[in-house]
Amino acid sequence: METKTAEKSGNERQQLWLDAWFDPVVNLHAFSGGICLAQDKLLVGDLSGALKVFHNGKVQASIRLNAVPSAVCSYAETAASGDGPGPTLVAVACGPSVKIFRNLKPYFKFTVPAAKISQAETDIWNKLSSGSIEVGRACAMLREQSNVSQRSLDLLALETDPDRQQRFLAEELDAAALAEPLPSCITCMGVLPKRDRKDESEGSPCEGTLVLGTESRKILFLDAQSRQVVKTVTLESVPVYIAISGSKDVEYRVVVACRDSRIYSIRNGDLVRNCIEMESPICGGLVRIGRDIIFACVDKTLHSYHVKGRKNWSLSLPEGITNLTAFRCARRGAEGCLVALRSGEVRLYVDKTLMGSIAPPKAGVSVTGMVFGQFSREQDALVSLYTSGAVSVKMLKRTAVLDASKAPEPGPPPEQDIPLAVPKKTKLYVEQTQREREQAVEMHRSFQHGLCKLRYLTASSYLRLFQTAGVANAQLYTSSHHHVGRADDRKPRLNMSVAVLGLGPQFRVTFDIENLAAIPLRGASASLSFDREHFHVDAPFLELPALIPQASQSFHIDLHALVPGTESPPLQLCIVKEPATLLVAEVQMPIVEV
Amino acid sequence: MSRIFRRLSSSLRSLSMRLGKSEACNVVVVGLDNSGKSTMINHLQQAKAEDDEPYIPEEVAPTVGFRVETFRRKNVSFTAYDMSGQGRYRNLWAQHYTEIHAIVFVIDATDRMRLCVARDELEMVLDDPSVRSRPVPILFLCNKKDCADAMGPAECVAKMELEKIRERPWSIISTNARNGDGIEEAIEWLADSISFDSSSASIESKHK
Ligand SMILES: Nc1nc2c(ncn2[C@@H]2O[C@H](COP(=O)(O)OP(=O)(O)OP(=O)(O)O)[C@@H](O)[C@H]2O)c(=O)[nH]1
Ligand SMILES: [Mg+2]
Repeated sequence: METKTAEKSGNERQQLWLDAWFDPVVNLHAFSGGICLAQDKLLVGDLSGALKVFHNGKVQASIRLNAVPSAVCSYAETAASGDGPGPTLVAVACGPSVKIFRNLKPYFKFTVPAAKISQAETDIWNKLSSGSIEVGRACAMLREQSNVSQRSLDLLALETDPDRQQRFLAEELDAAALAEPLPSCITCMGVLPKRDRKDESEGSPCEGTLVLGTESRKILFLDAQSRQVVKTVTLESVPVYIAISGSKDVEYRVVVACRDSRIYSIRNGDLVRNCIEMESPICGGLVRIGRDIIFACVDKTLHSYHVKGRKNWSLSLPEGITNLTAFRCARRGAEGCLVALRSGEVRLYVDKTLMGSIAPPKAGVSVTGMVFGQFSREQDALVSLYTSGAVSVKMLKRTAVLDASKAPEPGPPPEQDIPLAVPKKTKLYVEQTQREREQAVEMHRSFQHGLCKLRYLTASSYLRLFQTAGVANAQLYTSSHHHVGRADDRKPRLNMSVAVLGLGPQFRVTFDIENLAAIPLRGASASLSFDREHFHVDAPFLELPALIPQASQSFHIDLHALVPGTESPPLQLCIVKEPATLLVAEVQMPIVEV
Repeated sequence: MSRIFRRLSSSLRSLSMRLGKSEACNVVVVGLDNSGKSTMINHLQQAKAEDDEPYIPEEVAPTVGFRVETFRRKNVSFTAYDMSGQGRYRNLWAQHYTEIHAIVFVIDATDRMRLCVARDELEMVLDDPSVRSRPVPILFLCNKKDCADAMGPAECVAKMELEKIRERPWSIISTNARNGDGIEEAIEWLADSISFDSSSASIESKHK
C-alpha cells in the first residue's frame, strides 16, 4: 500500500516534456489538419490565408494562398523511375482545390471536379434568377434537398448575413456562372502511403497519394501525380476527420468521421457496411492507433473502438475536448493519444491511462491545433498552437517512463478489498433492529419533529443575533448614541452608533453602521469634520464598502489632539452618498488629560 | 594536504613531460546526433597541429553505437570514446563514465530547437553517480561556428545553464570541426585541466 502511493507521487512528479520552442507572439492560427511536420520544418496553413514555413524557430517562408487553407500534408513525390522516393511535396487544401508545392514553389494545382447538380436544385436557381421566388423561400426549398451543390451551400451559409448574401447572389445569378457548377470544398485531406514503411526510412517522407474529403459527401482518391481522381466513395454525410492506415500496395483502411456523428470506414477502396454511430457529434479529431480508433465527442467523452466496430473503452473527461492527436512512441512501444481540453490542458493517455499533462502557457487560452510526430531529428515532438496565436514545441524526454502498468491503476481503490471490521451482533443490536422494523413510522416522525424544532431554534437565534447585535455594540461605551431612521423608502436608511476610545492625545472614533434598508448600500463614504486647531487627523475621509442590509459593520477614524487641557468643539461625522448626506452625528470629545 | 599532493603531482608531470614520457588519458565524447563529434575526432587524428598542408575532411556517416579512437597532443595520448548521439544509443554513454579523465560535450550551435534535449542529456551526464563522485573536467564545444545562424558560446552557456556547474572545471570553446578552428585550443585546455594524480580512473574502475 505504502509503496504504491510513493510510486504514484513519483509518477506525478515525473517530467515528461522538454520545452524546445515557445513563441507567444508568432500569431499563428490553425487547426490540427493545417499543421504539418516535414523533417526539420514546421508547415502551418494559417487561417489568415498563408502557408507559413518555420525552420529552427524562425519564419523561413510565408506563401500567400488567396484562400483559407483547410489541410496541409507533406509526402514524397512518386519517382518515375521507381528508385527511392522523389522530392518532398507539400499539399495545401484551400477551398475546392489542392495546391501542391515542390521545394516550396507552386508546382501543380488540383481542383475537385464539380458534381452534377440535381434537376430540382437547378429549378430553384432558375426561379431565383428569373425573380419568381424570394431568396428566403429559395433557401427554405434548398434546405429540403438532400444533397445540394457548393453554390447552394454557400448561399445557405450566408443566410445570417443578408448583405453578403445579396452580394453573393448578384455575382452568382449571372447566367454564365449558373451554367457552370461550382466545385465543392475540401474538408479534410490525408496521404495514403504507397508501400508499408520500414523502420530505417523513418523520418523521411513516404511516397503516397492524396485522399480528399469534400463537402459533397465524397472521399476522393487521387492518382500518384494528383492529376485525376482514381476512386470516389460517397458517404451519407460530410466527412470532417480522416485517418489513414496501411498502404496502397498491401492493404489500407481509411476511417472517416462525419458530421452525422458516425464513423465510416473504407477498406481497400470499398465502403465497409457497418459504421460506428455516436449520440453526440464527434469533435477534436480522429486517431488510428494499431487496430483501434480513438475519437472524442462534444459531450466531453473520449472513446476507443476496434476498427471492426467493437467498443474498447470510454472515458469521461472533466472538460470539453478541443483537439485530439495520435501519440506513437515506437522507441518505448507506447501508443495512445494526446487530448487538449477546453482549459488549455493537454493530457497524454497511453491506452486509457493518464500519463501526464501539460498546462497551458497562460490561463484562458486553449489549443486550436496540435500535432505529434518526428520533428527536427527528434522522434517525439509535440507542436501545439493556442488561441492566443502562440506556438509551443515540446519534446518528449528520453527517460520518460510511459509504462501504463506502472501508472496508478484506474478502477476501484485497493481499500475496497479490505473487509470492514463489522462488530458481532449483540442482544441490544437485535432488539434495536427489531424496534426499527416495527416502529419505523413513529421513529421517523419523532426524528422529523426534533429536526423541525432544531431548525426553528437555529433560525430564531440567528434572527435574534441580528436584532441585538447593533444595540449590544452601542451599549458597550457610554458615549453619544445617535439613531436616525428615516421613513422615506427611496432613501437609504442607516443606524449608526459612535464611540470615542482613548484617553488622549490619541483618540479613535469608532462607529458601527447598520443598513436598515432591504438592499445593500454601495459607494457611501464617511467624513469627519473637526477643528484644525485642536486636532490632527491623517485620514478624515473613509470610503465605506458595500453596506449589507441587516448587518452591523464597524469602522474607525484615528485622531490626534493638539491642545491638551481644553474643551474642544464637537466633531461632526457625516455619512455621505453622492449627492446626499445620509447621516450626521455630533461627537463630543473628552478633555485631553495629558 | 591534497593541494600539496596535487602540486607535487603536477610538477612531477611536467618533469615527466620534459623527460619525454607521456601520459595516457581517456575521454568520452558525447552530444546529440549530428553535432559533429566524429568530425571533430577525425580532425584531431588526421590533422597534425604542425602540418602545413590543410586537411580536408571527408563526410562521416552517423556513428552506430560507439567507436574508440586515439590521438596524441601535448605529450598526452588520448583515447576517445566517440559515442553515437542518436536517441536509441544514448544510454551507452554511461557505460564509459567510470574509466574517463574528462568529458567532451559537443553542442550543435545551429540546432536551437534541440538545445533543450542537449541540456536534458547534460543534466543526466552530470547526474550519473560515477560522474558526480569525481570532479573530472568537462569541455563544451560550441560546434559549427562557421554556420550563419550559429549560437555564440555566451548564448549556449545561458541556454544550457552551464554556470550551474560548480563542482568541476569546465570551459566552452567555439569550434568548427570541419576545418579545425578552435579544436587545438580546446584540446590544450583539456590536457591542462586533466589531473593525472590519484584520480587515476582506470584503477578505480578496476577495483570496482
Ligand atoms: N558546417 C559545419 N558542419 C559541421 C561541423 N562539424 C560537423 N559538421 C557536419 O555535421 C554533420 C554531422 O557530423 P558527425 O560528425 O557525423 O556528427 P556526430 O556527432 O558524430 O553524429 P552521431 O555520430 O550521429 O552522433 C556532418 O555532415 C558534418 O559534416 C562544423 O563545424 N561546421
Ligand atoms: Mg558520430
